[in-house]
Amino acid sequence: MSDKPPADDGRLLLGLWHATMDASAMQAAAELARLLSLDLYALFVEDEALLTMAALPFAREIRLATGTWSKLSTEDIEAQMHVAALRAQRLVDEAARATGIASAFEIVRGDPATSIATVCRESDILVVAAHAARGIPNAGPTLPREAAEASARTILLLPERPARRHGGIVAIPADASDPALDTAIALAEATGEDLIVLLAAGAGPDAARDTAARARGGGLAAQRITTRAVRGKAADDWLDAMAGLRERLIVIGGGSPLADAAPRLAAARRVPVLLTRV
Amino acid sequence: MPEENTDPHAPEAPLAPLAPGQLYRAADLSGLVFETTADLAPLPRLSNQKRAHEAIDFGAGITHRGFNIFVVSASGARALQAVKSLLEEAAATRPPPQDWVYVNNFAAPQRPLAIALPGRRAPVFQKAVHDLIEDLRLSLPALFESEDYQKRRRAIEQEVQAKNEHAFQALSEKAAARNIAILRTPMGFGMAPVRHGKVVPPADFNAWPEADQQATRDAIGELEKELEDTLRSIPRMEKEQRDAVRALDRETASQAVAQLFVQLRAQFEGLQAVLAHIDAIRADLLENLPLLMSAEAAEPGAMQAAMRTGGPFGRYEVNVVVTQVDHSPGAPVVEEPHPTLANLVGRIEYLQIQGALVTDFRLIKAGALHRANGGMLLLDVRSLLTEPFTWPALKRALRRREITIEDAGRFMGFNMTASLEPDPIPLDVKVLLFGDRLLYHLLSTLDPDFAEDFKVLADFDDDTDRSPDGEAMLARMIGDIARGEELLALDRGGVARMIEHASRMAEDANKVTLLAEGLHDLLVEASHLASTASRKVVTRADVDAAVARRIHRLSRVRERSQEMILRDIALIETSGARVGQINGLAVMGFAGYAFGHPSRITCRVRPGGGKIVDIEREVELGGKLHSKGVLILSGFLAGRYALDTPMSVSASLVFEQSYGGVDGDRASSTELYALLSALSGLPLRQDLAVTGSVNQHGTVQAIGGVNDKIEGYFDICSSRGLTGAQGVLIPASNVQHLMLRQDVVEACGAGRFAVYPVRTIDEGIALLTGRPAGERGADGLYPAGSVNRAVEDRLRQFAEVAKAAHKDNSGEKSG
Repeated sequence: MSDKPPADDGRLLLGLWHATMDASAMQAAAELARLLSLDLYALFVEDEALLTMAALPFAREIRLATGTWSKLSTEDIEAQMHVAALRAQRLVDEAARATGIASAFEIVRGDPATSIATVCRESDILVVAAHAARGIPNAGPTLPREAAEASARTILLLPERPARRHGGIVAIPADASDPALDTAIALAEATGEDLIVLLAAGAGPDAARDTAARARGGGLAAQRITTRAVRGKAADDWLDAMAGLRERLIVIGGGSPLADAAPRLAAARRVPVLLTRV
Repeated sequence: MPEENTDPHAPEAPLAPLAPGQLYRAADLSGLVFETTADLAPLPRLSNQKRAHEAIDFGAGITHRGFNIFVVSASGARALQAVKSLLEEAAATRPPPQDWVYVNNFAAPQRPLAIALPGRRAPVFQKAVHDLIEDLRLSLPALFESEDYQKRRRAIEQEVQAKNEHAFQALSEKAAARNIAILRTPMGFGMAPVRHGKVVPPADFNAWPEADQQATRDAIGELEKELEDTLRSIPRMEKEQRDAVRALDRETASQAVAQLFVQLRAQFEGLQAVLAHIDAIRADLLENLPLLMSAEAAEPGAMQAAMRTGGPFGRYEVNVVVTQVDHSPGAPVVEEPHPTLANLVGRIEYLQIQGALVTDFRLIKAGALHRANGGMLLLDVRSLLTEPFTWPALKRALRRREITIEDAGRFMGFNMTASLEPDPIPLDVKVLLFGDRLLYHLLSTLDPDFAEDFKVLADFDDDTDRSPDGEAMLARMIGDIARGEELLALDRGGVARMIEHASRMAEDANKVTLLAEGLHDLLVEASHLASTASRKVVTRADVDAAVARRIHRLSRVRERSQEMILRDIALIETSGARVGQINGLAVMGFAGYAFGHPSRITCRVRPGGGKIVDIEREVELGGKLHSKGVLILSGFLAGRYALDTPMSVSASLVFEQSYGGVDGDRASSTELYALLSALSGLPLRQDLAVTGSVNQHGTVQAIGGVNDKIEGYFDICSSRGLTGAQGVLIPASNVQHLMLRQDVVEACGAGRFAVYPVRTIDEGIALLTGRPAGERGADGLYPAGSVNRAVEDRLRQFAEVAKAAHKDNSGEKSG
């Protein structure tokens, strides 16, 4: 990682390329950037693999809108990418304007994963798609999670069309000392929303008490802090525990046993999941 | 045959002036025991309008179609209030009508349904449904976020998601096994050969052996077919997922809401329309659950717009259009002072949301017909007729017996927004229109439907007999006004003066007006004067002062008119005698105040063809009635004088210095006196003024405004100085109407002025010329020296002249 840019103020790094961007997801990302006092930095990558494919003599594509095959050329792909870039830039600008944050938009050509890894700093929060929308791979606008995790310490799993923009902050820390809890407390404080801390049943009574104490220490009033013990370890058990919660964001500590299930949580709850890795 | 007067110059029995007691009738309250009006018992409502009272009782009681009531009254607003109070008392004992609500028509939202409920139940229904909605609003989201529901829904969604992912995964692996990559393009998917994780560049691919290239093409062809199948299956699986989720939603909600609906139905057992609507709400709720839930969970900004129309659950609300909770017990009695079309038949309001006008059943507003349904509706007919579209709309409603909300903007083409057609509401109302006689007459004459829709006439008398009972009734009415307006009470003198003024308002010493408005205004002013003078009661002097002040305020025109005469700009003589010249009397009106003033009438004659020229008519300043009066003069002359000779006179009559119109035949006797003077050559006294119409037999007939006319001439004479010879000739039949000002009465009593009651032209001409009129003797002649003899002689003379002229003309022609 020595070739990464020097550490600086954090950014919310949004890797974009040819696929259609969801305005509400963009808005949710910008809102989180505002809450965490981050700038929004969008990098639109023109995927060179597609350009190579389009140059092949038999290149064609099946279009999702019509279900029909069309011949492809390099010019076609470049034109499509240009349109996608313009649209992405407009969405970024609108989201930044609506939330009052600073933003930057840049277009590069290359391999998406490599391009993003090149510009990503350790202090950045990298936005990735929560899941393959409609079960179609790579349909989302952002970097595959595996690539993201290799680049950034904190990633934001963004679902398609988030369910709501208001509601409590759910924290799933590995333990009471998990830095993810601090992030969740800061976000609850910034939004004025309640904090709901989910702890594994085996964490013991001290964990709940310590967690609540840290939250109060972070400036939250006691009545705005709730802790719940989750029976079972499966992702479904955690989802069941969240029934009835109208949260706007889930914060998961990287050391939490639930970190691997983060994409599923984001997809099932349709809210952004902030995954902080140790 | 009357005996011939042997001395034609001897005066016939002189016409005596009226005694002061005949000029003013004082009120007699001797039979009424009270000190002030505070002691008088209130007058039962409409007890002074028995005919109208009976008509209203009849009209209000009969239920057959068309028996609506037209109340004719000169004092519209007070009559309306009196009738309204009467009806409210009667309505209080009648059963209250139904309540009406509008609800959503889920099958056709543009046609909201009207539902009737027993009186006062509509708000209960509205609240019950509202509570249900609130329960649903709170419970449904919780229900759909419950662990059980979420688990089942997740299972459905994951199944489909997993199927899609699995299909893509399998295809991707199959492609990878053949060194093919499936790549996402901005518009869809494409395939390309890969080596070492990279797409093979075209140059490399072209360098491959032909067999390898073909194998790759074949592999891609096969995979493309499978990709196509995989993508094609996605919409089908998604639909299956949606159907499964919808079924889950219905099942979940149905169980949850069942008990709520059972409880709601139980509250309205027996009301079939209500129960049917409750069932419709339940069916619609289950059908549109996802829509409602997503709208309910929408962002606050979007919700704000939706909430203006009640939010997603607003479609189930109940719009109470009319309820008896708003009324006192019994049937409603509703007065609509501003009967626009919307205020009468109701209206549909609109909300502006994001630039568009939108409406629904909740924006239907009741009109007066809705509020009065089952009771009575009181409308001022002038207000009704001056509002566009309202009169036809009222008639349509009465004919169809239903209230249909109509939009005036739509009639005019102003409103092109899609609107509603609410169910008409059955109408059972008694309409009472209030107006004056002219409007009643016009409607009767011009609107053929009017008689069918308003069969009952309640005709308010403008006055009543001034009997002891009548005066006592009026005294109580005055007391009621004072109490009602919180004025000072009147003492006996004050009441008496008010009654006398009421008689003057009626222009009849034997009548008193029942038009309370005029009495009310005078009473308010008199009370104000008494209060200003720190008196506890209103006295005769206060009423006198109030009358005088009112006249003074309105007297600018009168004073200008008198000034013109006194400065000899308008020529009126009040002394001496003139041939063919006489003082007539006219009445002018200004802002409800009338005053009399003299007007000179002159006549000139010459031989002619028997035509009396009415100069007013010739220049189109005379009205039809005035012309009629002049023609009657011709009839009088032709029937009385020189019966054996042709009428050979040509006469011209004119109102001198009259530049406005002249109408009515009230000056016909005056004109006749001028004509007789001109014919006889006998001068007429200028210190006398004359009023009265005449018929062809010379009988003087009653006219209106007699008091004003006498006072008008008195004022001129008084200003110039009363001589004792001045006076006014009035028709004898007008004596009963005299309620003259006190100064006039006093002058007459002192012999400084006189009012003469005249029955015939002969009586009048004798007084005006100082000569007897003369009666035709046995010889067929009028006595020599009499007025009539002089007239007849002159007419015969004219006939001779005419005959001679005719002969001369004939000779000239034959020669």
